[in-house]
Amino acid sequence: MEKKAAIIGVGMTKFTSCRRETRSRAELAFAAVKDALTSAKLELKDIDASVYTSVDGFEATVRPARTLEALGQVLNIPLIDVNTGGSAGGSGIKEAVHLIEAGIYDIVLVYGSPTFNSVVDNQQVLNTASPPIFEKPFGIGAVHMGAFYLTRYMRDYDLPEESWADVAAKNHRAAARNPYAHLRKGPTSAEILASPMIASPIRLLECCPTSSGAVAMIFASEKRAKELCDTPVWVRAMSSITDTFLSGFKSYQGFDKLKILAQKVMKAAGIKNPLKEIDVAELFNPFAGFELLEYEAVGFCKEGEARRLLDDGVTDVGGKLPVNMSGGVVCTNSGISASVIRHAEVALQLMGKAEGRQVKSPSVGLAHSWGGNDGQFHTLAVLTL
Amino acid sequence: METPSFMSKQYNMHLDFSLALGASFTKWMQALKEKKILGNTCPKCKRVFVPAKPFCEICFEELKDWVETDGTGVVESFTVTYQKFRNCPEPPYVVGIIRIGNAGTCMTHWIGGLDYKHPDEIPEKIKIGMKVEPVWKEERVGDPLDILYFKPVA
Ligand SMILES: [Zn+2]
Repeated sequence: MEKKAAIIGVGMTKFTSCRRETRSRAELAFAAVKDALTSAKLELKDIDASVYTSVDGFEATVRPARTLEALGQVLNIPLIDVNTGGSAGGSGIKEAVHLIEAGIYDIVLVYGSPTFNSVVDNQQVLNTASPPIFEKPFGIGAVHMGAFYLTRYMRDYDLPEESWADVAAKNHRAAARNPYAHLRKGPTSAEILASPMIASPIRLLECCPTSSGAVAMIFASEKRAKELCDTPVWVRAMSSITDTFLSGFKSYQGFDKLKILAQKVMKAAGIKNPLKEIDVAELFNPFAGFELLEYEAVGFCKEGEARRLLDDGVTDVGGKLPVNMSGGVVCTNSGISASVIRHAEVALQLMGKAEGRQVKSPSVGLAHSWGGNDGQFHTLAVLTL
Repeated sequence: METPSFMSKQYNMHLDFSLALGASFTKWMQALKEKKILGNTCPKCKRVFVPAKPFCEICFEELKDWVETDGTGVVESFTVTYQKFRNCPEPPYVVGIIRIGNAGTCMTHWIGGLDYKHPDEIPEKIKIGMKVEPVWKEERVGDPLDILYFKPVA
């Protein structure tokens, strides 16, 4: 790649429950963008283009970008709306990176909106993600789709139910150290196992909450990044992949599409041994168990060996490759902003600004997002100092 | 009177939808009326699609050749729902990923005919690869719901 893109600013609000939220969508957007601009030492007028990442349906409108008009209208610049379901944050970041790498813009802002704030019964909208005639009538929402993957994995590898609770507990402990996270009480594995079963094998405390909050990131060209930032975080490689829309057309044997994507992205990044060469990762886990399937898909270990990685503490605090030190999506799921946050968290780690959740001097990070109907889309990015 | 520090306002939209199914879905749905589960085959890779599709997504070839399956299938994965969701069935209910015949794809449907007295034990009663067959409704209209559920083959 001739031209390079870097992250030079990250802005985030604290996250809370949608039900307790008193801030309007505009106030959340203003706070996150203001924070990102401040951290990048920029003003609004310095932005060349904005990418608004969103998903349809949750506001009874397909134009959710209306909540942040200032980013396009005041500056007379393009406002690019990117929507690939839950992975829209990753897809939006990828567009920003491409625009900079192509030499079209120098400074691009990516805004991750909260998704679940306005719909009263969020599951009603999540249930519309599945194909309406062939699959929706059977009562399938996001949790059921996740459950198909985890049931199959448990049976294929004789995984005890405790492992799902253990990986959930690791995320909850991490969220307790993250001042921005939504669920911060840090339940133990035993408490998680005692929580009600929602859709087998997924229990309540292994499911993400519906959170409210926003995030913004500033991307810059190499020249501007070096001028503006002491610790720019470079996008070494990034790509995305697409799967079928139908839930029934997937194999449910691990995240096979993520595996293909990871091989491509690792190759582009020059990474031969991900476990050895990557220092910190944020993997998209709206259901805690996803994290284990993702270790395997992105190449941290062989198929069926994720549990050993978890049990050996490799992916926990002080391990070789800490994963989801933010507490993951399972502790804070604000919808689209959750997929932007995976990248924001890795960037903060590399910049050394991750406050209570900082990993010791990482230099290579991995950020993943997952979305659409039942993992229809994945994005993956290797970020470096 | 006290001034509230914040307010929220509720609104709603009731939207109805109608979808043209196209030739292959229509044929597939119509066959359900006759208690038949059809599939269609890719002329190039020979994969069988159940439910039928207009074209093979891998080869990008039109699917013109039809096969009639015996309706039995195997469970590739499943989930037992214990939580009540609005507009969804009363829990517990089981949704399976079911591969009909030698299809290259699966369909989602309910797995029934199980003992529901001890809900906690339902997952243990279902095996991956377990053979299932359809239980048909008396009155059929040409819809996946013409099948009440799939039950384990005795
Ligand atoms: Zn084919």
